Amino acid sequence: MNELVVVLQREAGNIGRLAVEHLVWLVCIPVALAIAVGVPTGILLTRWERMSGAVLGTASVIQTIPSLALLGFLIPLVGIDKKNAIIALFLYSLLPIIRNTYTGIKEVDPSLVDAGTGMGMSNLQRLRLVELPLALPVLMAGIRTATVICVGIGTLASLIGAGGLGDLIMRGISMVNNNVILAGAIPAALLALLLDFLLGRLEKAMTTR
Amino acid sequence: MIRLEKLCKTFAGGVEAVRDVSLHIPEGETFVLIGLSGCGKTTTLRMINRLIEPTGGAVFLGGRDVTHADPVKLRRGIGYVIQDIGLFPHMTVAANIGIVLRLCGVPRPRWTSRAAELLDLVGLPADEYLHRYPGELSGGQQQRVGVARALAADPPVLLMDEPFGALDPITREQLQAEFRSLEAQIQKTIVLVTHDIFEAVLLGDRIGIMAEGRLVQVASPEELLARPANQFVRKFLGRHRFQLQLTTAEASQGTLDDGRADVLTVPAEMSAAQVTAHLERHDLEAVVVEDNGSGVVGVLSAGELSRGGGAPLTDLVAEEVPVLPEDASLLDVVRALNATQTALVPVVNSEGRLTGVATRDSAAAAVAAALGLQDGRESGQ
Repeated sequence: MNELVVVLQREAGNIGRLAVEHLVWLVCIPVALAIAVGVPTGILLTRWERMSGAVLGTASVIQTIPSLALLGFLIPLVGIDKKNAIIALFLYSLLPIIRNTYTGIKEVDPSLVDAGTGMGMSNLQRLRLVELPLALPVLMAGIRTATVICVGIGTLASLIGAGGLGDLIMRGISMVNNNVILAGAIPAALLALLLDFLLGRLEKAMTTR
Repeated sequence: MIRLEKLCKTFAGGVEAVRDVSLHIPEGETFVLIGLSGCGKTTTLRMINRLIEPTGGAVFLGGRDVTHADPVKLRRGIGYVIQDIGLFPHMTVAANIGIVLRLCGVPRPRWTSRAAELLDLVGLPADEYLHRYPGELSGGQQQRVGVARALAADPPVLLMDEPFGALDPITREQLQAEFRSLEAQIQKTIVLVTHDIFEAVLLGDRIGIMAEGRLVQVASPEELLARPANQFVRKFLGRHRFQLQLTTAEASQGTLDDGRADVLTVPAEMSAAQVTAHLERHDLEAVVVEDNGSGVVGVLSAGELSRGGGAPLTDLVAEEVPVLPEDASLLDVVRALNATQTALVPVVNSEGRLTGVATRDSAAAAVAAALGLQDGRESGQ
C-alpha cells in the first residue's frame, strides 16, 4: 500500500499527462467521430428500415473482433500511431451509438408520431421536434456506453504506440510491478466513472421532462 | 365541404379495407362514422388527411381535389384528434396547443395567447394550465388539450378518431356533453369515428354505418333508429335501439297538450287550502307551482300539502322532483318519472318558464309513438 502511494507520487506528472492524452486522443476524438457518423446513420435506418438489419449486423460483427486483433489488423493499413487507435476505437463506438439512436427513435410512442404527422409536421420537423427529443435518453445511454468502452480498450492502444494511460500499465507489466500497473489502471477506471457521471448530468440537463 | 368519391383502399397483402365509399358532408355538419373494429372507418378517416393514401377514388375538400396535394400543407389545415390523445410529453400545454402555429412560423407571443384562448374554450383555466406538462394532467384534461390543439389554427375541418375512447365512462360522458355544446359554438365540419352508438346518436348530425369496408347506411340518428336499412344495421343497434330512440325524441313529445296542462299548474300565491281543493276538484295527485316572476318553482303533491300545514307553497314543493330543460330527451322524462315516483314532471325553457307538463300517461303514449308501436309500424326485433 505504501509503495503504491510512493509510485503514485513519483508518477503524478506522468499520470496527468497520460490521462489528458488518453481523454483527448483515445476517448473524445473517436467518440466524437462515432457520434458524427453513428447518429445520422441511426436516423437514416429508421427511415430506411430495410437497411437496418444489414447495418446493425455489420456494426455488431465489428464489435466482436477482439480489440488486440483489430489493432493488429490496422497496422498494415495505417501503421503504428494514434491514427490506428482512433480508427479502432471509432469502430467500437459505432455499434452502441447507431443501435441506441435507432431503437431510441423506434421506441417513441407511435401515437405521438401519428399526432405529429397528422398535424402537418414534415419528416424533418417531426425528427427535430418529436423523435430526437424523446429518443435523447436512449441515445445518450449509447454515447455513455461508447465512452466507457473507449476508456477501457484505449489502454491497449499503448501497444501500438498511441500513448495514454496504457503506457503505465504496459510499463508495469514489463517491470513486473503491480503498483505501476495500478498507477495506470486506477486513473483509467476513475476516468471512465467520471465521464459516465458527467454525461449522465448532461443528459438530465438536456431533457427537461 | 368534404366529398369522398368512390374511395378505395387495398392494403399490401390484398386486404380490402375500404371499398367504394362515396359521401358528401356539407359545411358545419358533424358526421359520425361507426362500425365494428376492422370495418374501415378509421382507414376512411385517415384517407381524408392522407395519413393513408387511397388506392382508388378521390377526396375533395372545399371543392378541391386533395388526393395529389402536398400532404404536409393539407394536414395543417385539418384539425386532428386521436384516441391516444398524443400530447407531446416534453412540451408544455401551451407549446402542444401552439404546435401547428409554430410549424407555420407564427411568433411565440401569438401562439401563446391563442393557446390561452383555446384552453378557456375547452374549460381549463389558462393561467393554471398553460405552463404545465401533459404528464401532470388527468386523461380528461389531456383530451381537452388535444381538442384545443386541433383547433389552434382554426381549421375548417376537424377529424376525430375515437376521441373519447380512452377515457373512463364518467369522464367520457362529461366530455361528450361538453363537446356537444362546443361543436355548436365552433361551427366546424367534423368527421368523428367511434364504435359507441350512444356517442354517435348524441353527437352526430348524420351517421354512416360501415361494414366490411362499405357504407351500409347514411342517415340522421332519428332516421337510422326508426328505419334501419337492413339486418346488419338492426343487429348493430341491437338491444340499445329502444333506449336510443327515446334519447333522440325530445322531452316536449312526452308532455300534455296545452288545454289539459292548464289544470296542472297553480300560481305560487295560492294558499295550501286552495290547492288541496283544486286537487280534489280535478282528481289530481300533484300540480306544478309557477311563480309569475321567477318561473316554475317545483312540483307539489297532496302528501306535501297535508304535511306542510299552512306554509307558503314555495316552501312545500318536493325537492326530489326535477324540472327538466327543454332540450332534455324523452328518456330523461321517463327516468325522472320513474326515479321519483311522482305523477308529473315539468319541462321549462331556458328562462325557467313552463313549456309543458309530462305525466305517466303522456310519457307512455309518447314512448309508444317514438317506438312506432301505436300506428302498427315496425316495432324492432
